[in-house]
Amino acid sequence: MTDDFETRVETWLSERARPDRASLQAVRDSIDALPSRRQRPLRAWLAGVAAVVAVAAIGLSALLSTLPGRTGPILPIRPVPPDPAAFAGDPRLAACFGTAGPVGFAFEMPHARDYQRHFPAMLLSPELDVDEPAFVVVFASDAPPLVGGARPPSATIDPGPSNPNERWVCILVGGTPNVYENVDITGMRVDLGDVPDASPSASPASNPVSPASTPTLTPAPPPRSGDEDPWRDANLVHSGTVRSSVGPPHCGWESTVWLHIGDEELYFRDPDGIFTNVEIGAFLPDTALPSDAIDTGLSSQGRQLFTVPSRDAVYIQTPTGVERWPRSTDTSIGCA
Amino acid sequence: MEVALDSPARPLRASLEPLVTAARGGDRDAFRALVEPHLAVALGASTILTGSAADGADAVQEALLSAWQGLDSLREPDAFPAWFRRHVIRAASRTNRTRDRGRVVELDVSQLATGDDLDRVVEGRTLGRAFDRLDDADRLLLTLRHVWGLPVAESAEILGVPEGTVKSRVHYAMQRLRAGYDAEDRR
Repeated sequence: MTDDFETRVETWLSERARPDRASLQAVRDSIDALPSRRQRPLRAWLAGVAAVVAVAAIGLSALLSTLPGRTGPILPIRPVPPDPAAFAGDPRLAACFGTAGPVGFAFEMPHARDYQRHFPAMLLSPELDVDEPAFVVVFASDAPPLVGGARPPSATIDPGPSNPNERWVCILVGGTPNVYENVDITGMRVDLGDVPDASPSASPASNPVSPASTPTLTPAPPPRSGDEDPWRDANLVHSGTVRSSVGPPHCGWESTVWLHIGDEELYFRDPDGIFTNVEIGAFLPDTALPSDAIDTGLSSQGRQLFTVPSRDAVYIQTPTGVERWPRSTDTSIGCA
Repeated sequence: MEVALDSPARPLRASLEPLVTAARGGDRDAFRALVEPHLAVALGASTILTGSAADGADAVQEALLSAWQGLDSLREPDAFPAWFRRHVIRAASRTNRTRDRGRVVELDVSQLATGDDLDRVVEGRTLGRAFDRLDDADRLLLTLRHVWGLPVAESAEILGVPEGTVKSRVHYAMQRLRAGYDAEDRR
């Protein structure tokens, strides 16, 4: 892409965005037509809260009174979200098509607008940018395609190579189910706790969900800037074709590591999901070495490099585990 | 005129708190003063996001209504401009969801073709078609950057993603726009 094209786009956008006087005046005039402001008296709000608390207390009291004896456990042990069984019979599950296919996870989001904190790899979905609470249903990987519900194009990702972490997801906001196809649920978090992002010291409640099929985003030590130590074979001879470097900080990509094999192959260590648009499959911070993995005999900084015949990813064995670094479909990446 | 070096600096921008407080009390003129500096660019951005001047104007009017009625939820009065921008983005997104996609962007050819710059007219029309075929996320990204002129950090806050992600998404949005433009151009 040339800078010239970007300049032409900028010029076109600025021309296109120049409103005509009549439209602008019409918008100005609409201020006069605004209805009187609805003000919410604090007293009424407090009364509402008090009523809700009272109803909840009465309900809980009634429930306790039906339980036999008081010596045993007062309440039965129930499944805990994101186990969908925790919401068995919940009308929200049905409203979000939870009865239409096998459900992998279900949980509540206190605010719909936090969807990208719960699903770090999910693409922009402005319709969720509201304060209202939301109910989330993540379908199992073998769920059939869902029919019905809104499917905003902004929430889907480009069709591409199969990603084992892509699922159908339904997010119910105010009674409206928003259904998304191919949501990458890598790093899904059920409970955000007080911690805005992954951290080694995060409480268990704020840790990512980690069932076998859902890789977690395990933060790694921050990579050093610039080129990394060279990859060497068993005789400590530098590899002429393999090199890795930290992503350019001026683009804000310093959380990534770029590994080149020759000029044709580029792989990413991408814990923040910055390049999900071009990655073949997901970055996996903790996975198993595939049975067909091939030891290249190269190592760097205590890490060993494995390739696979498909060349869709490389596997990096570290002292603590194995990471999958997905291949990029684009080797000429740059930032705007 | 000489200026004393130790004279107190004037604030670059007055606090919006008095206007927000008055508007919360129902003062329409205060609300008008709050939104007036942002109306033109909001209307332009909304037109870009919805792909239509009429839809863009409807969305801004909807944003004005929701901002007016939602003033109580504005926690930091001086953040009014960014807060109002979010209302515009939401209203434009709602407008997009409630009508069919795939229309061709309206272009006021009469304005563009006042001279003999036919190439410019054709390029504008081609860009318009390619831009309208981008998905909402790409259109929003490019609008935040090139129409509102927001820095990456503010775009990242609006989109709820890291700054690096904004940069890569802008890069790919522009690539997709270029590919769409080339495809339209070959027709």
